[in-house]
Amino acid sequence: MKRRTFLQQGAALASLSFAGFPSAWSQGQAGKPRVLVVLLRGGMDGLTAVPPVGDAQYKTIRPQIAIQTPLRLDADFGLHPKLEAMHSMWQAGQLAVVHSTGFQYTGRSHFEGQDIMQTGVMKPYAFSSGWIGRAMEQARIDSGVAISIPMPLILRGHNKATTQFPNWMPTLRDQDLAAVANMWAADPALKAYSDVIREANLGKTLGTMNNSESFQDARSMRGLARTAAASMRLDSGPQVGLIDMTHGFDTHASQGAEQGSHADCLRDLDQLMATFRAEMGEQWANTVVLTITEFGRTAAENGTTGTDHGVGSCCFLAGGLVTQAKVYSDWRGLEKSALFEERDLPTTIDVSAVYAKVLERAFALSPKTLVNAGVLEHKTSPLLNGLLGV
Amino acid sequence: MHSSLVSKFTRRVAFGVPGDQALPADPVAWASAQVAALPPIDVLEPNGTRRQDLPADMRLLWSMDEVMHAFEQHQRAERLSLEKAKELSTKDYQDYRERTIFTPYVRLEHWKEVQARETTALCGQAPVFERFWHFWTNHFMVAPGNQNNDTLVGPFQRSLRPLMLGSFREMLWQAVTHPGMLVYLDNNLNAGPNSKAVRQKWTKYGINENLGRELLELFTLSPRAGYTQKDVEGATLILTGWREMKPDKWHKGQKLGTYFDFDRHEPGSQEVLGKKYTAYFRPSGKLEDLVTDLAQHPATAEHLATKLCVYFLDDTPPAAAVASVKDAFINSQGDLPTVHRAVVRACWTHLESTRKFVSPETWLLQVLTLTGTQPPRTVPLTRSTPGLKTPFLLGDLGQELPRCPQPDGWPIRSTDWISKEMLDRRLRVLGVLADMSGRTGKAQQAMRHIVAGSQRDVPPHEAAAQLLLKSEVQTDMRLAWVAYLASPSLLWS
Repeated sequence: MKRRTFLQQGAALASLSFAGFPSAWSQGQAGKPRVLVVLLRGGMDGLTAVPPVGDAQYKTIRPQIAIQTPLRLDADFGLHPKLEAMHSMWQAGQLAVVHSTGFQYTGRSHFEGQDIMQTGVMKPYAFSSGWIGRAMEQARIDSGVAISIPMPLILRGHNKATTQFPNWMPTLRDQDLAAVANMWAADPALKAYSDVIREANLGKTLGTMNNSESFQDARSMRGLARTAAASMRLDSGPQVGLIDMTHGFDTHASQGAEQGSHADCLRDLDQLMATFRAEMGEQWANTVVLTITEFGRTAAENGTTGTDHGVGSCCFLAGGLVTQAKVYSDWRGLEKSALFEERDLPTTIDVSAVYAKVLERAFALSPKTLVNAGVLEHKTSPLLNGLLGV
Repeated sequence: MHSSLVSKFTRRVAFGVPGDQALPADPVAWASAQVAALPPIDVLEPNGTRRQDLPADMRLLWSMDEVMHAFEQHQRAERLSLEKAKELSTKDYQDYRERTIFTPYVRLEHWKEVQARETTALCGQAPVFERFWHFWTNHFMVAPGNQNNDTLVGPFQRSLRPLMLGSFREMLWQAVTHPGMLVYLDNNLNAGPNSKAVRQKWTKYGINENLGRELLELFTLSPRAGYTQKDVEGATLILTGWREMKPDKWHKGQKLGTYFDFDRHEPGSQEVLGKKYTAYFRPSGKLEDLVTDLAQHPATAEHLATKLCVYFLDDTPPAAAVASVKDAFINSQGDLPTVHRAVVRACWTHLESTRKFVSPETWLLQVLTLTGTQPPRTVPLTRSTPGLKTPFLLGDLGQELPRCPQPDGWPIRSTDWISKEMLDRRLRVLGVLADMSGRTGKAQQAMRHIVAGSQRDVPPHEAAAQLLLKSEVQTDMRLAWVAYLASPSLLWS
């Protein structure tokens, strides 16, 4: 399918109501792979998360913020010491890293970058649907859930994706819900929502908080991971989940090393991963967690013991669907001449090709289908062969 | 013209008019008059006077001296708490931080600013002015969370109000050089590599591009103008040395507030968009010239006109609307009252063909205005003070003021405010507020507003208008609130 026809179809689909789907879509999800996407907004510093311990330049260009005591991955790379649970996943063969990776976009803007990482289209603000939403549509995936109040762009374009977030406010009554359904029936932008809101208020979908946890706990990264796992681990649960880490990674100043602001963000990510693994139970074997960030940061530290907006970063894949603990990378070194514009870790592997591997493994969408159907353009790399066993 | 259209206009440029009050006879004149003068801002009673029952020390910080003192005290309290960490147990340490930092400098600071913002919108003289102020505080976003800047956020936002009566160039200059912005985007740490302070190693800091990039990307040109990394670097070097002066141990009697530190400034000339900026005898003049050029650049006029029309009219505004605002901007050399009046006219001209699903804050203010309800006023004196608080209620709706997660501000597109969770929360908030009106003895008053408003604001053929004619709806508070305020006519404006 050409992109233009795809767009037209997308517009047609967006106007369908939930009730309009063929029954084949409602088949159970038991045994189908689960994908949890974690958005790391602000630009994760790949050289702090996965320090290149084998690169002699690393400590030279980062005199104050290099990681001195990383956890060991292999001879060339280590893992930030706050990523303990993820290190145990590595030891169990359930963590893979792709390094020096990113988009074919070098504008270094958060906002353009976050648009691109979600639409999967290298021209900013050109698409109003996300690459996962389109992939779900293409593969006829039954449902997805964003643990978020707004619907993140990356899941838009798929009518069965929904949002859920811990909430204390009393539920609506039957008569309120009936009035809403009646009033919204004639409004195409709203009518699709009255059914899901009804189900949530009548307790037909899972509640977002259990009684024993406080509201504050429920909204921590651990709490959000619990919420995601509570529905995703069910045989009938959504195949796709999404957690949005909205702030923190943009460390222009005093980012720290083993301790500090970037380390705190990584600790939150590690807690999220550990909780999700524990809560998924047996489904963990059938799961892949993927991290996404808009860009990496400058290779050298800047004048304020932080790092500025850069290009390449690293990407984590965790879970039972990971077949091998391995760092996938075409490492060019941190010599100035090897850096992008002599300042940033370059993009040597197109990160869209990593996402394509996830879609191929989890949704059985071939790379060719992804491109032809306008789901996700990507530049395949032989270095990724075998990632997730595909 | 049906009353529902005039009512839509009053919600589009302000927060609506309660159902038992008359709509303006000349809506454009009514709105235009409100952008011509500066209305006061404070924590107000419904009659517009200052609220009297606030704790004695709870007042907005106004002078730059008291703002910088509060900022320095907050940072000092943070440093002291690091010392305390060594001697106190974890529990005592948390209590200590709660008492000395979080309550005075964070929670109460944000509470009073949000309360002042919302009560001024509801009880103040010029709600149209407030809508435009909300736009500008979103355009020049300064949010808490960086370098203990909590006490700078409100004063920064309020400093934009008088500037709304002048030129965009002046607002841009004041916003970029305000301590609130310099700290939020780290420019107080930005030092030139060839400056005296860096060469002689007085400072461990150097280049920081945070403000330089956003000056071009967010505040003026936008990336569509096609500038390059070199331009960002040029702007960043021109910004070196611009920092805040606070009464700390380095303070040697200088004026508090914005400070140009020549010793951290990159000497020589820099280039942005092919133009050279040279110091001659006054190096601080480089930034003045750059700001002037950026404010006059056609890409800036295009960016601002588009953003204003998306914010007020529609996600895809009519080209004619954008063109009229852009022309007003260019022809008046960026005179903001002229630009605001052009937006008001565009809202009126294109009223029927456009619609906007507004942000949670704007929608909540509409709900409170149309039902005659005061925003929840509980003062959060401790972490666990029971009762509804406006900032938290906004957080439940997905817009926890003032904690905007990113420097590009809260989303301005309708699609970003529509999701199952967001709609569900708007409905549930209506239930919470309806219950509150019962507890505070305002239930009957609110019901009168709702019944009158629904006949005026909702076209008769809509389901909501018919629902609200039924006696069982008029006697069920929660149902009546939902039927009126969650009707498509009221959700869109």
